[in-house]
Amino acid sequence: MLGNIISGFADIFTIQIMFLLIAGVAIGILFGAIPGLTATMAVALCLPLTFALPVIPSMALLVGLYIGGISGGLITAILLKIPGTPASIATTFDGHPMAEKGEAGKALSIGIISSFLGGLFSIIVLIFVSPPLAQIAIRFTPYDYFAVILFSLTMMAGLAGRSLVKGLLSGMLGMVFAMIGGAPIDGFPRFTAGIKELDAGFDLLPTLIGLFAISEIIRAGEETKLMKGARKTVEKVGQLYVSMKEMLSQTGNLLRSSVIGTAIGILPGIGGGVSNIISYTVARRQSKHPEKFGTGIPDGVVASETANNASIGGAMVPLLSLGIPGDTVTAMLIGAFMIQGISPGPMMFQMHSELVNSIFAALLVANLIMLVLMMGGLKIFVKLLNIPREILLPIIFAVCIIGVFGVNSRLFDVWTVLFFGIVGYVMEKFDFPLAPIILGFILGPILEENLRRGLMFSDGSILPFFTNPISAIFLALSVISVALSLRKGGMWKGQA
Amino acid sequence: MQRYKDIVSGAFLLLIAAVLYTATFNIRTFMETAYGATFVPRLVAIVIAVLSLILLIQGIQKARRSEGEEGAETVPKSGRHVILTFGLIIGYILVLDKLGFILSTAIYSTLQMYVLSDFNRRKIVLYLIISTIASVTLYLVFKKLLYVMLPTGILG
Repeated sequence: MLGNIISGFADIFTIQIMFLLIAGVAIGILFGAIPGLTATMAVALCLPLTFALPVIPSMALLVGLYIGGISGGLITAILLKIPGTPASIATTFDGHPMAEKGEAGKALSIGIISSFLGGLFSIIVLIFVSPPLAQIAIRFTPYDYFAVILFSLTMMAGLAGRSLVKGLLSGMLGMVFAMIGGAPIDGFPRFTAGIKELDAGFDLLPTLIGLFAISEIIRAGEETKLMKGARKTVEKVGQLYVSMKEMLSQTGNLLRSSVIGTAIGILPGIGGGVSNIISYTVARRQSKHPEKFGTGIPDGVVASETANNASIGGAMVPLLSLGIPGDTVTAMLIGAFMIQGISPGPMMFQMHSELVNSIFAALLVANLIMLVLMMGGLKIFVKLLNIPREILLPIIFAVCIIGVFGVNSRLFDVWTVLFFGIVGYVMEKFDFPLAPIILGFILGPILEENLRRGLMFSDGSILPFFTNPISAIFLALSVISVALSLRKGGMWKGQA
Repeated sequence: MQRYKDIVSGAFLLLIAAVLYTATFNIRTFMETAYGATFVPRLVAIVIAVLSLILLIQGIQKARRSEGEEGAETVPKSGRHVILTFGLIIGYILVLDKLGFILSTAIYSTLQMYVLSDFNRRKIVLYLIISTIASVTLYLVFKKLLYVMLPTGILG
C-alpha cells in the first residue's frame, strides 16, 4: 500500500505536474470564491486543455481545480455572506457573523484548516477503501451495474432540487440527449433527424460547457442590478490566526464532520453541496450549546468546511473503483478519462495502477497546496474578487468558445454549446436542477448498455435484477431514496 | 407566468415524450429483437410521459390553490439584458468564421461587458481596451503556445 503511494509521488514530482497542480488549485480557489462560478465550471473550462496533455498531468490539473474549487467558496461565504459555491452554504451561517464581530481572520483560518483536515481524512479513506472496492466491483454483473447506476440517478434526482419529479425529469432529459447518435452495443443511429454531424451524438465537452458555463453567462444578464449591490460587506480581514488550543477543542467536531462528508461523498450522485448542510445540522443538534449556532461560533464553520472538503475524497471512491461519479465534478472527470481513452472503474486498478497511484498522490499534494495558497495568498484572492463580473464573464465565454472549437474545429460544436446553454438557462427558469441532467447524459448510455446486456443474458427475464444480492440491495436503496425524498420534500436545497 | 411554470413545463415534456416515442419507429434495426436499439428510448419516453403528467397535475393543483393571490407577476426588467445577451452570442457565432477569432471576440466582449454593466457609457472605452487585450492574448496563448486551431478570418 505505502509503496504504491510512494511510487505515485515519484510519478508526479516533475516540474510540469507541480506547475499544473499549483495552477489548478489557484484557478479552482478563484472559481470557488467568485459567486456564480463553481468548481464544476472550472473543470468544464479546463477539460479541453487536457486534450494536449498526457493522462497523469491532466488528472493533476483537474484534481487541483476540484480541491481549489470546493475550498475557495469559504472566502466569499465568510466575507460577503454569499456562498462562493453551493458547497459553502452552511459556512455563511456562522462564518459571516464571526466576520461581522471582527473575527474574519480567525473564521478564515479555521475554515481553511478544517478544509485541509477534512480533505486529508477523505483522501486517506479513498486510498484505503477504493482498491478493495474495485476488487469486489470487478465481479459486478450487468444487473449490479444497472442497479448501482439507477441508485445514483435517483439519489441525485431526489436531492438536487426541490421537486423529486423535476429532478427525475432532468435526469431523463440527460438520457434523451445521450441517446442521440449511435446506440450502444449495435450502433444504430438514433434521433439524428438526418443531421450528419449528429451521427456520433452530442460531444461531451460542448454539452457540459453549454449547460454549466454558457447558461450562467446568459443568466448573469438578469443580475446586473444585483451585482452592483452585492459588494464587500466586511473589508478588514485582519490577522490569519487561530490558536492550536482552539483547533484541538474542535477535534470531535472535525472527526464527525469528516466522517459525514466522506460518507455523503461516497454515496453516488451527491457531494459537497449537500454534505455541508447536513454536517452543520448534525453539529448543532449534538452541540452542548445549540442556541449559539448562527451567532458566529467556530463550531459551525468547522462543521461545514470539514464536510464539504471531505466529500471530495468520498466522491472519488465510486468514480475510481466503479466508474460512477459521486457529484457533478466527478462526472466531468469521467469525461476527462474518456478523452484519454481510459474508462474509470475496477479494470483501471489492474491496467493503469500507476495512474491510480498518481491520482492519490496528486490529491494529497493538491490538498497541501490548497492550505499553503489560501493561508499565504488570501489577500490576493480577496483582491481578485473585486474584478467586476461584467468583465470576467465575457472573457470566460471566449475561453469556452476556444475550448469547444479547438477540439474538432467544427462550428457545429459552437452551436451545440449555445443550444445547451439555452437548455440550461430555460431549465433553471422552470426550477429544474441541472446536476441530474449531466449525470443522466453521462450515465444514460452505461445504464442502457447494462440493462440490455442483462436482459439478453437472462433471455428477457427481469428476475435476475431482483435475485442478485448486489443489484437487489441497490434497487431497494433506489426505492428507499425515492420514498425518503418524497417524504422530506424540499429539505435539502443545495446542488451537488 | 410564475404560477404556470409547472403546467407549461409538464405539458411541454409530455409533448416531447410523444414525439420521442413516435420517432423510435424511424430507427432502422436489422431485426425486431425485443431489447434492441429502440427498447430503452421507448422506456424512457414512457417514464417521461408519466413524470410530466404528474408534474402537470401538481402544477394545476398549485395554480388552483394560489388563485386570487396574484403577486408580483410582472416580467422582470432585466429580460432585456437576457435577450441582448442571446443576440450577441448568436451574432458572435455567425461572424466568428468570417471576421476571425480576434476581431469577433473583441467586438463581442466589449458589447457584452457594456450590456452586463447595465449600459454604463462611461466605462465603454475601458471595456474596449480590456476586450482587445484579452482577445489578442487568448489568441496568442492558445494558437502559438498550445497549438489550438482558431479561425483567423480577415486578419489572417
